[in-house]
Amino acid sequence: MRWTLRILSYAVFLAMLFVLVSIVVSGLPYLFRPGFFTAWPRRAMSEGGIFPMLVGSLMLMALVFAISIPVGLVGTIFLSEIAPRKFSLFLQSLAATMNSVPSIVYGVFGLALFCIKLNFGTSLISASLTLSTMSIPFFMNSAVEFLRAVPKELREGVISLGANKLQATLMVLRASRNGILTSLMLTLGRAFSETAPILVTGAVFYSTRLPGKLTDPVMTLPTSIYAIVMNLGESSQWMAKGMASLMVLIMMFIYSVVQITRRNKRE
Amino acid sequence: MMRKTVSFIFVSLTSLAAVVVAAALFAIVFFIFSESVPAIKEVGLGLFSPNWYPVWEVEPEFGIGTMLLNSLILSVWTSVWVWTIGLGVAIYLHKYALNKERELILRVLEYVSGIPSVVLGLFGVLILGNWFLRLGAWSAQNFLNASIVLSVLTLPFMVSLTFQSLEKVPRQLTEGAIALGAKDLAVTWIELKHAAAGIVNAMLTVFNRIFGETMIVLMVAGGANMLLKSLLDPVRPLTATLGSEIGEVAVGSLHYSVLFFIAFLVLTGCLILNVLSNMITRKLERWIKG
Repeated sequence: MRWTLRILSYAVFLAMLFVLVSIVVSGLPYLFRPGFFTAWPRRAMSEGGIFPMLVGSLMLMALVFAISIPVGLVGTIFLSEIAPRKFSLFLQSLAATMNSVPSIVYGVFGLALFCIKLNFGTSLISASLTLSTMSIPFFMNSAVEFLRAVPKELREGVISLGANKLQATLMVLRASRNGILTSLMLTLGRAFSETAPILVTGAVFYSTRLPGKLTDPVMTLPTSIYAIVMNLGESSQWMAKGMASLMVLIMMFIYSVVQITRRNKRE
Repeated sequence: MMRKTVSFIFVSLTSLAAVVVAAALFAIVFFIFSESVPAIKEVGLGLFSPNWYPVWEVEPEFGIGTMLLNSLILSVWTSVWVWTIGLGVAIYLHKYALNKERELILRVLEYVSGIPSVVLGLFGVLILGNWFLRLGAWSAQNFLNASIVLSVLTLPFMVSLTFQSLEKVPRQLTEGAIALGAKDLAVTWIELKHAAAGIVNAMLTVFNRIFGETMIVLMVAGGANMLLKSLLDPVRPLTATLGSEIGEVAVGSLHYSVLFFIAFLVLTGCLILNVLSNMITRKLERWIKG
C-alpha cells in the first residue's frame, strides 16, 4: 500500500508541476519583449503590449479593495467581537454558503442588479461591485477565525484596565494582524483571478482608451486571455500566453507571502 | 456619556455591515429567481426538453435537458476521479511521506490551486488540445480534456482538505490501534472513519466546484449541445451556455429569462449541496462519538 500510494502521489505531483511550469515557461520569454508592459495591443493583438489590460486589472483591484476591505473588516469585527455566539455562527454559515456559490451566479446577479436595475451598464463600477459581493464573505470567513484565535484574556485584560469596546477591538486587531494580512492577500488573489463575473458585468474585448470614469467599460488580464484563446488565431496567442504566465507569477507571489506569514506565526 | 456614544456608534456600524452581507445572499436568490419567473411561466416543462434553439425565429426552443445531463455526467465522472486520487495522495502525505516530501508536494499543490481558472482553460486549449489532436481525437476540445483540466483545478482542494482532517485525528487513537495489533489497512480505516466528516465535506465541495465552474468548461469542453456518447465527444455543460450567452442576449427577452433559470438551477444545486453537507457532517460526528 505504501508504494502504490507513493507512486500515485509522485505522479500527481509531477503532473501538477508540469502544469505549473509549462504555463509559466511558455509565456515567460514574452514578458521581456520591449514594450510588453507599456504598449497598447496592435493588429488584432498580434503586436504591441498589454498596457490597458494591466491597468484595467489594477483599477478593478483597487476598487474591489476600497469597497470590500472596510465592509469586510467591520463585518468580521461584528462576528467575532460583538454578535452573540449563536447569531455569529449563523452569519458565518451564511458567509460560508456564499463562498461556495459559483462565480458565474455572482456574475448573473451583478448583471441583473448593477448593470440593468441600477443602470450602471457594462462598466468598471458594475464589475467591482460584483467582485466585492463575492470577496466580502470570502474575507470575513477567513479573517474571523484569526480574530477568534486571539485569547480571551487579552480582551478581558484590556477592558479591566478601563478601555472601551472600540479600544479593546483595536487591540485584538493588532494581535491578529498576521492573520488579517493572510486573509487580505487571499481575497486579493481570488478577486484577481476570477473571470466569469467580470466577463459578464464589466469587461470589453477591445477598447481604445483607458476607463476615465467609473461607468466606462474596462479591459482586464483574465478576460483578454479568454477572448484571445477563443476568438483569435495563432498569431495572437503569444500575448495570451504572456498574460497567463504573468498572472500565475503574481498568484505564486501572493501564495508565497501567505506561506511566509503562516510560518512566522508558527515560530 | 461620550464613551457610551462611541460604543453605540461602533456596535451599530459593525452590525449593519454584517447584516448587509447576510442580506446579500437572500438578494442573490431573490433576484435570480424573479428574473427566471417568465421562463418558468411561459416555457414550463419544456425547459427540460433536450433541444436548445434559443434564437431561432420561427419556433425557438429552450430545452436545457441535454446540457443538464452533460453537466451532471461531467461532474460525477470528474469528481469520482478526484475523490479517489485525492484520498490516496492525502493518505500518503498523512501516513508515509517524509517531512520534506510532504512540504514540497503541499507547496506545489498550493501554487496550483492559485492558478486562475481562465489560465487553466488556456492550458487545456493550447497544450492538452494539441495532444488530443495528435492522438487522433476528432475535436481538440472535448469531454475528457475538460475533465482533466477540472481535475487539476480541484485536486489541490481535495488533497489539502482531506489531509487536514486526517491530521486532526488524535494520535492516541492511531497509536492505540497499532498497540492492539491492527494491520496497516485497519489503522488507516480507523483514521478515515474518524476524519469522515471532513472528508465528506471535501468531497461535496469538490463536486460543487466542478458543477459550478464556468471558464474551464466554456473554453475546453467543446460547446456541442449533444448527449455524450464517447469520452472524446465535445459537450456543452449548463454553465458554459450561461457564460457564453448571457453577455449577448437581449435584456428582458424570453431567452434572457431562461438563462436566469439556468443560473437559478446552478444556485439551487449549490445550496442543496451545502445543506446536505451540513446534515451529513452532523450525522457523522454523532456516529463517531457514539
